[in-house]
Amino acid sequence: MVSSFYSLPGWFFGYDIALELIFGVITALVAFFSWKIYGLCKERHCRLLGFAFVSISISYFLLAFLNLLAASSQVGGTLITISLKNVIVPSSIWIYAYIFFFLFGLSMLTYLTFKVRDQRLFVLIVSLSMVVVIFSKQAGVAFNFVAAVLLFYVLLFYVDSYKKSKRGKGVLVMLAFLLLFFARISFVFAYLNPLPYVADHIIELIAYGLLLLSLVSTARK
Amino acid sequence: MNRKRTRLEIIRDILVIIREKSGKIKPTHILYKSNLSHNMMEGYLNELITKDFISEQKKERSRTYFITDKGNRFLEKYDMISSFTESFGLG
Repeated sequence: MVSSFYSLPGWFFGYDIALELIFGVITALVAFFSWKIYGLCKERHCRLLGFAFVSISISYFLLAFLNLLAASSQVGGTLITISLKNVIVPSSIWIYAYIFFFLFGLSMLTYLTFKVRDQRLFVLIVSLSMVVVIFSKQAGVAFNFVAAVLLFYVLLFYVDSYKKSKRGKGVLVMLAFLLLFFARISFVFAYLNPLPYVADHIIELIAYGLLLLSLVSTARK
Repeated sequence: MNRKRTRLEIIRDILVIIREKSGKIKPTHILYKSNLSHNMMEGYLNELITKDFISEQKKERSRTYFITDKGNRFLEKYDMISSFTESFGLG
């Protein structure tokens, strides 16, 4: 059984934490802005979008902390491995907290794409996602795969929205989710080889840069 | 053919109609100018009251609607709200 969650090259340690903190800040900004818009228009989906992004933001801060906690003891090596099997219990808790918040946020984004007002649907999405990961023998792979599936669904929604609107306003967000999907596919293989972990972070940096750009262009109006 | 208006666009249109009438208006004027069915208009007006964008004053058999500060603020920031909801597919 492969118990490794992901591995990263020793030279990348530190950069990854900095990038995860940047992702956490950008997603927190999206959440803050969503709530600001909610305050102005009182539309329920703006509030939910805020909850989705704040959950994803928390997950990135947890990931950064997890990497700092678990990998600092391995600094100096050429390869740092984060695993679910042989880690000390507190580290496992951080990993599962990261998984929970990330899947919670993505599940809420997926729920939003349905445009229905039925909380049971959200509970179904989030509980199925969690159950698959928790009971999988390769929880890390299962987590990344479930996240990729949810991102793919969200991406399809944004492609469809972009085609319908024909005004180009959603293009940056659509491209951001396309890149986030590819990044997550890359992360699926991070337990086999350290390079996908690096690729994931670089692709995510571009994706969140696009989200930030979209946010700034909106805020200037 | 014009595309179907989004919910936010309809809300904006109703608020603009009220504002253009010096901030107070009868429901018949809204119905005439908003291009909505009676049921839809009533639904939107109830929603706008719940959101505190407009207030309702009842006198005997007539009703008058007033735009509130929140309603005016919505109109001021409409471009930003619209841009955000369209970008994130929430429109």
